[in-house]
Amino acid sequence: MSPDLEFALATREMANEDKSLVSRNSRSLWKCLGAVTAGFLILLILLFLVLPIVIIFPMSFGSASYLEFPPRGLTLRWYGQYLSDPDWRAATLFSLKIALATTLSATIIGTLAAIAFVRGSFPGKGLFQAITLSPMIIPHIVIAVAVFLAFAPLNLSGSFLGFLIAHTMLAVPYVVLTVVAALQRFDTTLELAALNCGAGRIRTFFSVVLPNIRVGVASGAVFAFLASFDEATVAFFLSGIEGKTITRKMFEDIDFNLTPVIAAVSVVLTVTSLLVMGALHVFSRNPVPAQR
Amino acid sequence: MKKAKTHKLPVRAAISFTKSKSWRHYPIGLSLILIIPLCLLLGFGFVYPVGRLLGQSFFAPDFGLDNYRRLLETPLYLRVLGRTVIVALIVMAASLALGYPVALAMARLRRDLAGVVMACVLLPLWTSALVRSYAWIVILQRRGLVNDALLGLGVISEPLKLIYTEGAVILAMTHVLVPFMILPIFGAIRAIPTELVQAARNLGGGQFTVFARILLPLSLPGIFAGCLMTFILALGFYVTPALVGGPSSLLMATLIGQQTTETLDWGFAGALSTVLLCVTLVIVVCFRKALSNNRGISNVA
Amino acid sequence: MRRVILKGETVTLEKIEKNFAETAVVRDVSIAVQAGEFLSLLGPSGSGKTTLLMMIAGFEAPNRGRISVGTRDITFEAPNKRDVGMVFQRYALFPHMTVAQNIAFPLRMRRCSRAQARDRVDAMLAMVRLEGFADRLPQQLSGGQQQRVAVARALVAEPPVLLMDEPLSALDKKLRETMQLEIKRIQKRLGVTVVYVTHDQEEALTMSDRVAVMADGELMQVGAPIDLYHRPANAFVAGFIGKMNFLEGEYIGHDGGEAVIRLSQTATVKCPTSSATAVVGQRLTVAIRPEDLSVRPSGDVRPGGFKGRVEAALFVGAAYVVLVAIDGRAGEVVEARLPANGGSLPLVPGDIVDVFAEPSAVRLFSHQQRQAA
Repeated sequence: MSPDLEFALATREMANEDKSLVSRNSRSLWKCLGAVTAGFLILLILLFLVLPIVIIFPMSFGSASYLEFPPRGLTLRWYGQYLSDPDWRAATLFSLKIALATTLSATIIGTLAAIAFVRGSFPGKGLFQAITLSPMIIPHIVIAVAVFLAFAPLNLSGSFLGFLIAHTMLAVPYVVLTVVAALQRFDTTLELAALNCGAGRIRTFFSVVLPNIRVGVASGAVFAFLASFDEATVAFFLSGIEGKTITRKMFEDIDFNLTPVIAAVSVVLTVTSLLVMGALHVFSRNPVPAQR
Repeated sequence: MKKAKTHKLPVRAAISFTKSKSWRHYPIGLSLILIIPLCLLLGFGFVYPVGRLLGQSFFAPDFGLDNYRRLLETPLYLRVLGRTVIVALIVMAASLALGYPVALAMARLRRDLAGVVMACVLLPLWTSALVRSYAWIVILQRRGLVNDALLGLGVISEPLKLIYTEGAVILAMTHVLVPFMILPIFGAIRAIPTELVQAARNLGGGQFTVFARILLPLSLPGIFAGCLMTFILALGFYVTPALVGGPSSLLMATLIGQQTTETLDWGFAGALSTVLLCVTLVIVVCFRKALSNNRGISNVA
Repeated sequence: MRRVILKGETVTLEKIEKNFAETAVVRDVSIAVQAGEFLSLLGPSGSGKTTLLMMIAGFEAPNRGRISVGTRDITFEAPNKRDVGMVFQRYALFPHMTVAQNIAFPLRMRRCSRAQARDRVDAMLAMVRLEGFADRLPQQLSGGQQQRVAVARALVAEPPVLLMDEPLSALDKKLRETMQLEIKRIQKRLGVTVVYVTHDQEEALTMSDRVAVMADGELMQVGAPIDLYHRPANAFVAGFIGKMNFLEGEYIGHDGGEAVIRLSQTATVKCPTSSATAVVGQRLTVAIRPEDLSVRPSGDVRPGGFKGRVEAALFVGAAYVVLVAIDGRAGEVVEARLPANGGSLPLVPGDIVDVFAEPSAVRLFSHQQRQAA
């Protein structure tokens, strides 16, 4: 899904300070009781958030052919079925291909646009920015139906190219947002310094600007990957019989053929997302710092 | 010092009005080159398809407002529209009720605990909505976790019909959208200086007073942003209602989907999309207004 | 390791004008900087000094005028082709590169061979006394060290001209003084031409061969520090450089070879006629430096002096600062600076004193000029 920028900024802030536990001040029993109740309430909400996702994991290893929880025996059978089913394999590969290509194109297009938005000057900049970000606001169902209506006559539905265009369009706003934020933190005198050292515009971008906004670009790329890989609405409408994404295949199977294989696929999707986000986390913590 | 005065605004103006060149900003030509790929992408992948869909509502099958007349004259469709707005409102309210305490805890707790809470919020955020909807089916279906548990405990003798109901849609959609409520509120509360809270406590404000007088008003921008986010996402959400909902809980998004996959009525799908789009945009504009008004007030105070 | 030897070149600014939108930030400025000279651009915020520097560096182009280095016209040359080194206000070191990589950057851009670059970087590091810091990152250095790296990076490609944009403003006072000497030492050794922007007049006076004072986009005066101090061209320069008492007065005529200016009912000062071309009755501004005023206990009246009452007498280390109200009124107060020769000052607030200024130390400016400043 689409992670939020504010989060990234907030966590960065958070790393810098430490907070005292709220309950430190509460001395009286009454206050303690209040704190315990509040804590319990929050625990419940957190369980509500996490449990539905967590139960998928044991379920994907359950031995029964219908969904049962808790599972009686453990097996890797459903993962085996997932991997050996040509339909699932094709859908997974198709999705991966699209997601990787989308990551590449959205990152490049979005980064270039972000530079133009922050450093460039051209008429109608505000309008451009609004249009760029609008795929985030406009209901995906509208975009999905519209894209299908427009792409079907051009033989783009179910095709790699059609998905690439649609998903890149959906992913670009994330890249633009993260890179714009990074560029705004970037000290532009560094760019002047590079020019003064004899570097041209392009050289300056690659040797000085890019290394300093790399965390922003990487975040954008990861969000773009997930925006494509986890995307289901546009994929549902744009998929064809041949070109089918993993999400569309899953959609169909949930509707018609609810087996534990779906639990296995869900785990695969979730773990992929977590791995990618984890990689980003490690990357942005890397020594040095390029952020100012 | 002087930089702020001489370089920020005037330079930009200088570029557009005189020929004088500044290397602090990219020239128009280069800016346009940088933005051309995005223009092509959005033009072909977004503006053209959406425009075409909206156009269909007036032209398919014949030119006119027939599609809109049909929408307005059929009680079923009006009911769907009303239900969509109400469901979105409920989801928004539920997200706020569940999200605010979590955001508050995340912002005010000790770092390690806050980290745990944060992880619990981010895990669902990074999980596909499809996976989460699937999880809810597993939980709510006829032989799902809830029914099994209740049957096992002997509370009920017959499995309850939990899935494919409006309640299921609201529950699952709230689950999917709560993180979008939590993060902006969290951001807003984080931005409140701790000294402010300490000062209020110092001046004799109790927990509740501090919350009502300081935290709540100052986190309003975050609440607004979170509500806007969850509400518009709920309005146009397709995946969850399509999987968890049933015919009795048809929403705008699922109705649009139906028009294109089953009845193939593009004109009517276009009209429904236009209405959904307009509702969304109106709400965005209203929220923005409210937000700016709110900002104005807090600035004065 | 080879020695770094540079040769400065002249920098010529001819009738430079720069507008941002409709506002003129630099108006008709012409300065000829000599080869190897240390010239400071001094002025308050918004005086156009930084803009002028940016135009020499090539980050902004003038709307009118010509900039040349040596015989080369660089008015519209791209900044990366100018071969002019620059030290930025907050150093602008590349945070993702080590000290050595930072210094080597200009060489890399000039396709210098690896070995040669390493030698040059070592030489620069030795020059700025940062041997052993080559592999540090900028944020691991103190402000003063970052400053030295910035200087080394600006000079490594041996540019004939070095521009410095308030390079010491981020440092504390002690370090700033050390760095002033350091920069002078390097500049002397290399013979590079330096154009140095600052708003700190003391810094400008101690470091520069000549100082160009700017105000409101215009060049007020260019001259050696001593000339600016003792022969300011106008009231602005007089007030901006060092401390200055400004007094309102009226020209009332000659006394021998000296003009007489009335400050109040009883107080007058004299000054050489050469500096006054006025008609009787004209309002003028009188400028006298605190150290040019002598203050003595009343009774020792000398012609050209005036009476006043001591408002405050402060010991400031090397001197006493005495504030004297002219005529004993509270309105016009002049500041006098008397050398503290070990003894204590025989003056206390309330004393009536005689104040005297050597005519040659008194300067007159027209009324309007004073207002403009």
